[in-house]
Amino acid sequence: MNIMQNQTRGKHLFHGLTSCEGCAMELVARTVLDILGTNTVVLTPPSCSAILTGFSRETGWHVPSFMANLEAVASYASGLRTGLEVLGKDKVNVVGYAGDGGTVDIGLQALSGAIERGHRIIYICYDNEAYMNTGIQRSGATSLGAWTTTTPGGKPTQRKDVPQMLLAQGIPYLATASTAYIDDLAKKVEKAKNTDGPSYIHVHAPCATGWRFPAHKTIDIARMAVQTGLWVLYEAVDGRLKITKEIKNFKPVEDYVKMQKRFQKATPEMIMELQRFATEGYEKLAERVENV
Amino acid sequence: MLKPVNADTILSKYGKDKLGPVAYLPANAKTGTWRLHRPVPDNAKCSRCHICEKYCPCAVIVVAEEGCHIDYTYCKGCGICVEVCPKKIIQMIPENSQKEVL
Ligand SMILES: Cc1ncc(C[n+]2csc(CCOP(=O)(O)OP(=O)(O)O)c2C)c(N)n1
Ligand code: SF4
Ligand code: SF4
Ligand code: SF4
Ligand SMILES: [Mg+2]
Repeated sequence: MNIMQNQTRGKHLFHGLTSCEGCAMELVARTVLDILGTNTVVLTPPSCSAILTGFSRETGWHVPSFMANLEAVASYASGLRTGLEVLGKDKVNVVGYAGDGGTVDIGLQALSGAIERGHRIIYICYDNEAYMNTGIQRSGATSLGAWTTTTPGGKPTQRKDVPQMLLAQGIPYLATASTAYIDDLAKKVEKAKNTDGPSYIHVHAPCATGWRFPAHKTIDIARMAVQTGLWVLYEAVDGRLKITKEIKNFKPVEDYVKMQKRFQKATPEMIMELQRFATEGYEKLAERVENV
Repeated sequence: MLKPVNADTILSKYGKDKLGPVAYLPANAKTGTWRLHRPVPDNAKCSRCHICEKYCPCAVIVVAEEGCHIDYTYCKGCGICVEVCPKKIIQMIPENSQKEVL
């Protein structure tokens, strides 16, 4: 799918956005809108994606957008969706575009409720593994061993797996994706767009500012997360799981960790545990694929 | 690129007071001024594969017949294009080495 090979690449967001240089959140947003097109309304919570929705009279999106609150992006999306349906505008895509904090922690019950009610909304979580906008505080999605301002010695616990939680709840379309695999992400957004019901895509989106690495490494680091098995690319249509990027020769987690200063405080035990998490996590998923 | 929304048209259509907290101006920070290094492609060697275009977070690259073109008004100088180019033909050059910038 080479939808982006023309001069219209990324055009549904203006240039001159003040997200950091090399920001994966911005790249993911542009990619999502490339696929969904102009017949779309976007909701963002307070987060780095609020940069896209803009301040005061300024907006970054070239489609209607709306600032929700951090707890309830999915609820706002549900209401907007229902309202549009009442008006007979049911072709409009309603998108929630939220960070990991606004998704796996603060907005989780709203998201779960929206999925349970079955609204036709597309919820995209860009996962930069911390509350970046407020100064790099740990979230439920922060990796074990990672430094944040609230885990100065490295986070002592493992990240929670929200895609699997939502899959257990039951959802028509769910996928994980990565900034390093843009074509794969594009295909998944296309599927979400065509899903008659709620859809959820969780995109791993490295953040140079919060993870402490040079911005030009953003894509390499996202790719390394996939190649180590720490971030598995899969999708589930009506609960049927399929790995979309199989890994044959896993890279050692050590290689991923040493690319980022945020892991400098991690102990050797933490790194070992991360390695186990990667290897076993991938195996467990692969087993479930064969069992369906 | 995109046509900016005409603020006057919108204001006269809806009236200043009735508009409420609505954003109607396109974000337009000249982010090119952030740049310390400028990515410069060697278009003689460019294969027109479009990979740089696809991965530029700011969508400031257009790959066309003439090769890879970068809009320096907005390019933030992140260097992602340099890393993802399979031919390794984009080079980062310090901004102050470019006479026209001074
Ligand atoms: C209920 C509530 N708690 C806290 C905040 C303050 N706040 C604003 S943005 C933000 C960070 C959100 O983090 P995340 O969702 O991961 O997005 P990121 O900033 O990383 O893009 C927080 C905590 C808020 N706006 N609302
Ligand atoms: S802090 Fe991270 S996610 Fe936020 S704008 Fe900067 S690079 Fe993007
Ligand atoms: S340096 Fe970054 S912003 Fe500039 S063209 Fe390359 S990828 Fe785009
Ligand atoms: S990635 Fe490199 S070879 Fe491909 S179009 Fe861009 S500059 Fe040319
Ligand atoms: Mg975050």
